[in-house]
Amino acid sequence: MGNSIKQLFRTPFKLVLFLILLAAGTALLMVGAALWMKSAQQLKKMEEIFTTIGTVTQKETQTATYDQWDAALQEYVHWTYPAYDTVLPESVLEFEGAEYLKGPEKRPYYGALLQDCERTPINAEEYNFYLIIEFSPVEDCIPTQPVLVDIKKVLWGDARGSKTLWFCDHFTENPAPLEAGKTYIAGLQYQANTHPDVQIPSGLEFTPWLRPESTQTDGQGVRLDSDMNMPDGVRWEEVTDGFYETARGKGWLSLVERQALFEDILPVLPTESCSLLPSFHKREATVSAGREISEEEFQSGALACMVPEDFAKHNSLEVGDSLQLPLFFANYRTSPGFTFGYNFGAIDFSLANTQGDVYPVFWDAAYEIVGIYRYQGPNPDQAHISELGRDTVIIPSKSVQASDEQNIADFGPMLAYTTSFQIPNGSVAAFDSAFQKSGAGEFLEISYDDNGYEQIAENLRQTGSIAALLCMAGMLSAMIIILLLLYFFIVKQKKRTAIERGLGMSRRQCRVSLIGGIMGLAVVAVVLGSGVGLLAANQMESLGNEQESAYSTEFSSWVTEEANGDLASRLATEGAALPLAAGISAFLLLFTLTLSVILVNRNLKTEPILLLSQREE
Amino acid sequence: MEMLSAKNVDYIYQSKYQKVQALKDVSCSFEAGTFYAIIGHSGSGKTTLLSVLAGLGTPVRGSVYVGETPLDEIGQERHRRENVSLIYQGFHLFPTLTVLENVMYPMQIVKRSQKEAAARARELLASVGLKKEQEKKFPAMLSGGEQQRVAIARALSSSAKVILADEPTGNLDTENGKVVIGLLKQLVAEKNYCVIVVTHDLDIAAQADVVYRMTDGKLDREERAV
Repeated sequence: MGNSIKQLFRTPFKLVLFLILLAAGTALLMVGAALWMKSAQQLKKMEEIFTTIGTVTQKETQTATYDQWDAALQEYVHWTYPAYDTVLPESVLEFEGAEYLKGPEKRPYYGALLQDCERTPINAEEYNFYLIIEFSPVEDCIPTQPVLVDIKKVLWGDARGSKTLWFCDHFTENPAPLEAGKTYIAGLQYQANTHPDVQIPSGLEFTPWLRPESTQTDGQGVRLDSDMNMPDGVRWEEVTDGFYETARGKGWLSLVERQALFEDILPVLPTESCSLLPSFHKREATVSAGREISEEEFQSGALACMVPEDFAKHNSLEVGDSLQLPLFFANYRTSPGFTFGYNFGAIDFSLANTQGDVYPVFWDAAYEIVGIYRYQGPNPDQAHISELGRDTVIIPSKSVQASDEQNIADFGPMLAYTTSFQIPNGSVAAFDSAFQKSGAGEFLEISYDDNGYEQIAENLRQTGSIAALLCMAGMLSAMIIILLLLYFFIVKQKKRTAIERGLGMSRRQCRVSLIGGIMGLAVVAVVLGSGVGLLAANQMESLGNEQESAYSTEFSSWVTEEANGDLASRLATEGAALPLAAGISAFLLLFTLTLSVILVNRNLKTEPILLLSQREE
Repeated sequence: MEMLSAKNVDYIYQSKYQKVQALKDVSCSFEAGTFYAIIGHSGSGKTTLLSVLAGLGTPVRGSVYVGETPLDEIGQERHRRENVSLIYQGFHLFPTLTVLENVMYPMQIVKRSQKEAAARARELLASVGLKKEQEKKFPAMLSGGEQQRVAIARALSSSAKVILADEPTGNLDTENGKVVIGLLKQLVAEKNYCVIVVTHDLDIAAQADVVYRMTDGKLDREERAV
């Protein structure tokens, strides 16, 4: 083999030329393969990181008008609101061609009675603007304008030490008269005085709003009748002797009890997967300790829960702690974000069933806190359309193994923050086409959010295609160079083989003699090329990783910089691996060796005498 | 002493398109200390016989013997390494090896040490009349006669005592041809080599101890040199 290598070095121009060409071809192949691998890895990672969800809203059948009397304006104010002929079930989303990974689910939220925990305080300074009081007018009057009344008794709420307040039945055109000396009961909300003819020192008037009622529905969302409900237009009434013994009086006491209860309710959001929750999907909510509820736990209905960071801190709860959740009502209309907002809360349903009783607990279990999440939303303007509210506990839907059908406090159509589904990444167009074809688009509206997957994936696919071309070009050039190398150093060396055989070299020695030198040259070139290619690929990769935050912020709808930074770091691939370089080197060397053996064997088949004698006989 | 012989040898060249019988029932024997010439027209089968004797071709019938041992038992590669050396008309030196390295080559095949091989090669080069300063030259830098002398030195570097020379003077001028034949004859006379030369040159044949004539694949021994 020494002679073989020596002979190679005696043709330095050819040697160096092939060395450079083969090294360059290998480097090109290495760079192409590394980039290709990187884009394939990133696409794979994207499949793990990105999810595509759709949120569903039932289109209103019509816009209804609600006329409300405004005592200050002395006229009716017209309000509009969406009206629906019927509340559609989520089964309408099961149309041909609809392929879901998860869902569709229409989430209710449950109310759990707080056990040994406290709610975190609301951000708003003046949250409690409801009062339930017994009062008596200072003089006979008709409360079409704010009238001064004495507070006899505060049944619920904080009157802030005040003995009087200005009462106005603001939303009733012809309210009943109030008589001095009589006691009345009302559930009041305060608002700024807008009556031009009345001066109120505090600037606030109190309007009767809350009243005993039940908003209970059946499982299909049909409101159930209740004897407790007051006639339309009646919002307050006289407290007579024995009033609280009557059904109506009990209704008022029940209302007091229920309002007090609101501050002891923990909203609980059941779901099939965190990825179905828009806040988690958009990375507005992220796990800050522990972990998300696992797929297995969601599937098996494990008693696992995730609690918000504020709530955990406020109650010194940690991952692994247990949280008792006695669920007593279900709301199928709105979300915790609507009723239990961070800055706002709207109590627009009753906690009483049709009998006037607070809903009984229908499911009670101890849940293990497996994760604590940080919620960086919502934008105050959008608080009411977030599925997460203050202190919302997330649990697997399947963990609630009792029916809530007798405990439905409110029911409404599918809304973006209550109804969602997950489909495979990249399938939005196909899904939407099937959706439109099904005709469901007439009464449903779907918003898709893939966090920018389609655009990022398209970019990566394009990069992958270029890398594949580069890889093929590298492969082709390396192979052509190897073929040329073998042509010059083996095929054209037939005579040398014949001389060596004439000198008594065995066939094996002839093979070693020829192939040894070639392989020596190929090893040096391929290792050199792989090394250079590896360095170049790593260099390109680190540059690419630095720039990836650009496409993240450009295309990703993940709202926070932190989430986008996280995306960049999670999509960043490790440096082009040594195994790839080793694999490419091994492949090229094996290719060279195999072809060399074939060609040398062909050389050996030729009769040496035919080559060595100048005449062929 | 009979060193090499062929008995009833037939040899056929078989290509994709044709079949040519190059040797027909050829029998011959070669002894040490004898200079042989094989003469004949082009295409008569001289070189084929030489290659069969060298173990570079396998007869379809008959056998080649080294002493009493058939070549099949010895093995062709070993036969070429140990029993015969070849000299060609075209010299067939390795162009990218120096003169010295060319002569050392056969010794390296049999794994003789570098030092020993170099010393022996120098000795052989001197014995064929090449100067020391020519050792480091490449074959292309030498004249044809000098190259053939290098080829003879290379042939002598193995332990073989039979030299098979295929038109060794074919590419040389008369003067150099004489020198080469002189060297070969010297080997026969002084070192008891058996030299078999295939040639067209009747002058060379005239210097041989035994002459064989090849006609259309058949070999006849001539009693006297022509």
